[in-house]
Amino acid sequence: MGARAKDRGDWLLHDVADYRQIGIVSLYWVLLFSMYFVEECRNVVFFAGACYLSFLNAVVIHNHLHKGMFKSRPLNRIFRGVLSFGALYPASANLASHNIVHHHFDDDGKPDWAAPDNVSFSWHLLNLLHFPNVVGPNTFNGVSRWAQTTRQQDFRRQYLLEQLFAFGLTGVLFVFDFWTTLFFILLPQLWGARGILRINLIQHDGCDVTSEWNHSRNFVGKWFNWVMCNNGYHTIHHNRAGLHWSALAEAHERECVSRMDPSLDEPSMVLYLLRTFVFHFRRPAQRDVAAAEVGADRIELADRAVRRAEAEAEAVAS
Amino acid sequence: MLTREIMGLLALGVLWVNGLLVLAVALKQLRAVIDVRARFRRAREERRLSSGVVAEGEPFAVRHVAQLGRAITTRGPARILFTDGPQSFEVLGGVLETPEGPVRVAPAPPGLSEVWIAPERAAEAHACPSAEVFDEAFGEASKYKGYRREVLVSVRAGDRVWVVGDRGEQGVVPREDEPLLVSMVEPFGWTAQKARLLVGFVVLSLVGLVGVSALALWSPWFGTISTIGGALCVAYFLAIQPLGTAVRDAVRTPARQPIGGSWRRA
Repeated sequence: MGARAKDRGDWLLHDVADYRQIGIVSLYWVLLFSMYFVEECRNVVFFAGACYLSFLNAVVIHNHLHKGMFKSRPLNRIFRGVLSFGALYPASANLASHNIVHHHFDDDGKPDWAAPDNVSFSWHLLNLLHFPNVVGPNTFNGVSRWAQTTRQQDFRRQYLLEQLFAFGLTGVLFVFDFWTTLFFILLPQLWGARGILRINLIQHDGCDVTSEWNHSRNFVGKWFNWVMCNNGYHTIHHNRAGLHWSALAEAHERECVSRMDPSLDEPSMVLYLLRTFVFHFRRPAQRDVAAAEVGADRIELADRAVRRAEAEAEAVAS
Repeated sequence: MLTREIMGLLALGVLWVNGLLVLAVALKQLRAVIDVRARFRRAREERRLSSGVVAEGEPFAVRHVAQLGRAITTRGPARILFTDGPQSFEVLGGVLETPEGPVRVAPAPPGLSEVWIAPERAAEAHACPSAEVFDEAFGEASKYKGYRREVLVSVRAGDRVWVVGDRGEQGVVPREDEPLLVSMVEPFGWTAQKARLLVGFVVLSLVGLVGVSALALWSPWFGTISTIGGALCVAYFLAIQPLGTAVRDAVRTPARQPIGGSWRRA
């Protein structure tokens, strides 16, 4: 990642590809505040667009908290606040919930806060709907605990500032126009925040989180990944968390495909969602997907405990 | 155009779907608690439930819990916060003094044992033994790897317990299809208390859901009372999720209740 970033950075960003992410967040704010201030913008196109961009805003949170986009550390911190308003949750929560706990499917001996088995309805669609209702509080409680013991000097201050900005600005908007804020600011915010929690179920249900190469489901559609900043390539992202998102497609082909069960490479997320949650009632039966990596060529990959330690160290330094 | 009326109905729909999902989970948990109660009732009817005071067995049964301690870095005295990891149970066996006379309980291996510990005993087992132990632990807890320890919570002679298992020649033994259960917690009282909690949660939450929705739909829509109702709907939506998980945690069986806890330098 370091070499690629050195090649592709400019005065502002480590990698110029991240202008796409800045564009996503900017357009999201434009849509939100257009709907807030201009009555004619309160239509299906703007609302659906805002909801979709809210989800992408949460994807940007994910990418930005793995590696700050800006060369300026203060600017990275400020941008976390901007992202926090978009999702109505403090972006820094990702350090603990995603980078440290979820990436290693472990919280100091306890399960991942976002483990798929947090939901167990027979009707699988209800699992998709209910998942954020459980994982949201799990994550909040987990981050609160982690915040008590983190060695990152200013995490608690940054976390509080992000909450103050996100909830404060939303609160101000509520005071000036309650119903417009509820319908055209809060609903999109919640769509994105809850959507990014749901992704954990979509990306990991039915996978083997104890395996090295079959712990995640990938969505490899070309246009899907252009819009989603390559977040469809999830296996390689877990294993090489330091790789910039623009390098994931190539690394997925090179390292993952030959070691993965073919069923974990889905061509289309839409078709997967329809097939899994709409056209079938029950949760798909668990398969031994990890069998695919038995006998595969070995590749250098640090032990999970080592990668966790590196993530923790990076969190402390960020 | 997305009118307020359309968006209001959408928002109410989101509130009701998610509110009802939380309540549906609570009802599933209620069914699980009822199943636990039924298990104990069946055991009592089939004379597989023994209740008495541990006369022999030191310890009679144990719960092993692996813990990881990390130093708390917020302002204040030195403290260590513990997180539970994997756990196991073992019934080592002994003799119960029951109203019907002494009952021998055979040992059962970890895979065929389940131990319900009283909260006070868990707190006692968790407590820091000495200042020297704290200081050594704090040093390790301050590093990335943390302070690892194993907590042994024991059922001892003199404890009142309830035991569920088959009566055999060796004494009380595990059934083929379920572990040998030793409980320091009176099981029928426990299931009744948890059932009351779940029923109360479901009823109050449903009343709350109906109430805030009714206020939001108070005529004229989007007027003062309706706006108060809307704000309460938002508050309800944000509150029902953590309440649901709090109830989930509260109704875990004593075998699954975390020990957790923290140490503080005296």
